Amino acid sequence: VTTWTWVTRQATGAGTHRVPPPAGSVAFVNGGTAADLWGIMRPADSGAGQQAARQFLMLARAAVAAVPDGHRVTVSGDGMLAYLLRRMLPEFTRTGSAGPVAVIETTGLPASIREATAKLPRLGHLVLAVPPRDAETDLATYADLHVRGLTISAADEASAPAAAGEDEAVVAEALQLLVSVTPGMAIPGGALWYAMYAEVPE
Amino acid sequence: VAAYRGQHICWPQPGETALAELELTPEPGQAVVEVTLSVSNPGTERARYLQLPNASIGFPHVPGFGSVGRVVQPIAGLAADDLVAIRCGPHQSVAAVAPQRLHRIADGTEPVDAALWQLGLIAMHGLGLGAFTPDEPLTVVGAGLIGAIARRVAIARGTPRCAVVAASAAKRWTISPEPQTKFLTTDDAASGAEQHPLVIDATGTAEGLAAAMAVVSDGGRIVLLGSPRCAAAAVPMRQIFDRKLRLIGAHIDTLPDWSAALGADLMARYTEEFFALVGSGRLTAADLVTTYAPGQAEVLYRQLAAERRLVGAAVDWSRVQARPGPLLTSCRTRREPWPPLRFGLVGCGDIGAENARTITQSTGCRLVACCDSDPSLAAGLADDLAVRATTSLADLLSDPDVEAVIVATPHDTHEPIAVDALAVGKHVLLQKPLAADLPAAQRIARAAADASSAASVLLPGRYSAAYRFARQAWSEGLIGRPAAIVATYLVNKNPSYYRGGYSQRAQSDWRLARARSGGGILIMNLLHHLDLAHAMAGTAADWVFARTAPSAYSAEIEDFASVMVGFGDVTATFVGAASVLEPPGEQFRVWGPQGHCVVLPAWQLSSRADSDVGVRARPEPDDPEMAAIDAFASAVRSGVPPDVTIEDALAVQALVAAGYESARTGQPVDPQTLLQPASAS
Repeated sequence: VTTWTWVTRQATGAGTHRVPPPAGSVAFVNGGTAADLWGIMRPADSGAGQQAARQFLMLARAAVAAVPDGHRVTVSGDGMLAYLLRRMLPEFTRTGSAGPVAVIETTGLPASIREATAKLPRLGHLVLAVPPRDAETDLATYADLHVRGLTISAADEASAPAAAGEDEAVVAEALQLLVSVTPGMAIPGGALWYAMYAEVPE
Repeated sequence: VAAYRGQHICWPQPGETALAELELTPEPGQAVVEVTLSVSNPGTERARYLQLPNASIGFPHVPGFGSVGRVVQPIAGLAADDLVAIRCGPHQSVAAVAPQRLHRIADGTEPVDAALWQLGLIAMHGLGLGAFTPDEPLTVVGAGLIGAIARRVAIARGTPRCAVVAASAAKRWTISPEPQTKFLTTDDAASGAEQHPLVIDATGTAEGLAAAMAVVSDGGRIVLLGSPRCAAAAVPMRQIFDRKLRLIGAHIDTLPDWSAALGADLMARYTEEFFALVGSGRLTAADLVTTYAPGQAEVLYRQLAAERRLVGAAVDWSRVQARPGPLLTSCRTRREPWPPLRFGLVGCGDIGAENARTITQSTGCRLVACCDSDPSLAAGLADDLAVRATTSLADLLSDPDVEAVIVATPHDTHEPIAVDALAVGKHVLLQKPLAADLPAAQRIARAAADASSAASVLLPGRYSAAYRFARQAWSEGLIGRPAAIVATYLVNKNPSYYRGGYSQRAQSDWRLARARSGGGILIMNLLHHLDLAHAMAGTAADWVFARTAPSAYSAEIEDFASVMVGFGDVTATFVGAASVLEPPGEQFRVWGPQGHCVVLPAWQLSSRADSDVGVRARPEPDDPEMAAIDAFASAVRSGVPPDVTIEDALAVQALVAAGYESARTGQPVDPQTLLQPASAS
């Protein structure tokens, strides 16, 4: 079961947890340019990075599995999950010009969710790849959802396809892109993802 | 090319209905159909009629969503006299229609069901997008017509269980022919006791979506079939993610897109299935539809806008011929469908004179006589208005020119006047209250129930545009689930008022005697607000708690009353006083989590659901008293019950009685316990 966390980028550039993490844990935070970023928590042991990379891969696979057949897919967000999805999706699903459209939403932020629903064409499909930050999001229920016949659904890790043989190469690549930060340290702006420790490791 | 003439219902402007003459010339390829019956899509038409958000249309507008009739000008594939259904056919007696909107039906097909073709398609599209399978149970949120058709299609297809969730029990009766269907209130739904994998939300409201979330099982699908009437609404996205739900928007306009995506002609498939089910008798919604004559169009839309029990509406055009002849009126020129109702006024004092003048200004009514035991009062008013005067009630009631009486006399005389008038077949419109006390009110109600004529109580607040829009804002979810109503009636009545009313026309001390008036500010004034709250809540009160303080002019009546009433979850608080210096007058407001609506003193609506709604729905100035009297005349002429029934007035009288009883005992009182059968005395 994924344990989710949210990190806010302060004016100083330092990231702070919305809810203080337990001691001895590490948050693997999905990077990007937004002020609020989600992450997953893991015990800060030696294999944590590798397990987190596999978890991100699982999230990506679950999101792709939630897209109905035949849909052209776009991905919202600029963190590691979006990177993995774009890497995973066949080129034609991102560039094709015909057929219904799906957006995989990877930020969990209300503005991004609203923007995705506003841009989806008729019978478009919004897949929530991660839990939304807020319990409720204000949407144009008439103009967007009802009239254009949009569908909103959620990725389900339980229904994600099993790991494939090429996963290890992806995990290794993700680990190379992982940046470590400690409390009080500025979050690197361009990082796809980073490990944020609850305390300075000994 | 021949021109055809008939009639159609039209809305010259928002909130106004007219029956007008129609002239049409078919275009090449169009069949001409003499329409026998047309149906409404209640939710959409109600929203358009009231110009709610997301329901903008141009005016004048001809409403209606489907019809049936016989072909009078054939086209290829359809012969003269063929019986056809018209998809989206408006309320008009003759129609020129392109073939793709026509479907030939067998003689013997229930016309109402055939006319509901478009609504059947809407329901089937919702079920289709929700991937309904006949072996799974279904819940529909909302007990309106579209929701009812959706569940009946599901039942016809074989669903083993069905549930309907509604905010009130007003439409519980609609499930009576559905043994598979269970009726749940939103409170039942909130408990999450019964969950199904597919939920159709036919309400379009935030409350409806909340109820749908409560009754859908984890991993389930919610279809948004009802049109939301707000610009934006809070969608529980986290719950959708956590519970792996699927939220699916379903508008009939996406049927062609969905057909293209599936590579199937769903319009044809659904149409074939719909008429097969209707033809075999496995699907019907005719029991949910009230049929009106074309001349009752105004009543139809007034009831559609305000009557919770009304589910569906149809217009019977069978007696209107697509005839040649001169064009009498256009949509913009209202034609009075019936002669004015001829009133006799009983009681020519303060309020009676006001009522009489309103009647003389109405196009739907005419004043023919004034009656008062005081000859000078009767003659003075009659001379002013150029009508006959009499001092004898018996004389007035024996006058065949008097069809109805409007009664504006001291409250204790309402009973004998109303009972005598009803006994000789006169229609009766009483000034409020129904009577001075509850037993007398019950006896009037019994007389009205036994009478062949109509009876009602004049409660003009129901006809103010502000109230109508507030009621609609409530039912459309723009204020959310109502939390409270607060109303104040703070005035300063001079000592002279108690002996001569506001005009001092008639001197009497009846207002100071409890046995004659029934009480003070509570029955005289706060009753108006009690009625508005009762009508707005659409449910009986559970309890009443009150405190009163006596008037300085008579210890028998109260100057001050503070009353709390529980209408289900809604607590309403009413405060009235008759000796407030520099008084603010009337205030009436209702609010909920989504918004706040001020009905009095001036309409104002703030809604989190739609920040523009206050601007767009602001009612125009109106004349509620004239509208109330006209509505009574319209109901009499069209043979339908008045909007304000005697049962409504009796319920409000019971609230007043419960208030007095609570003030006397210091305990809350259930008004239902006071509504015991009246004694014979």
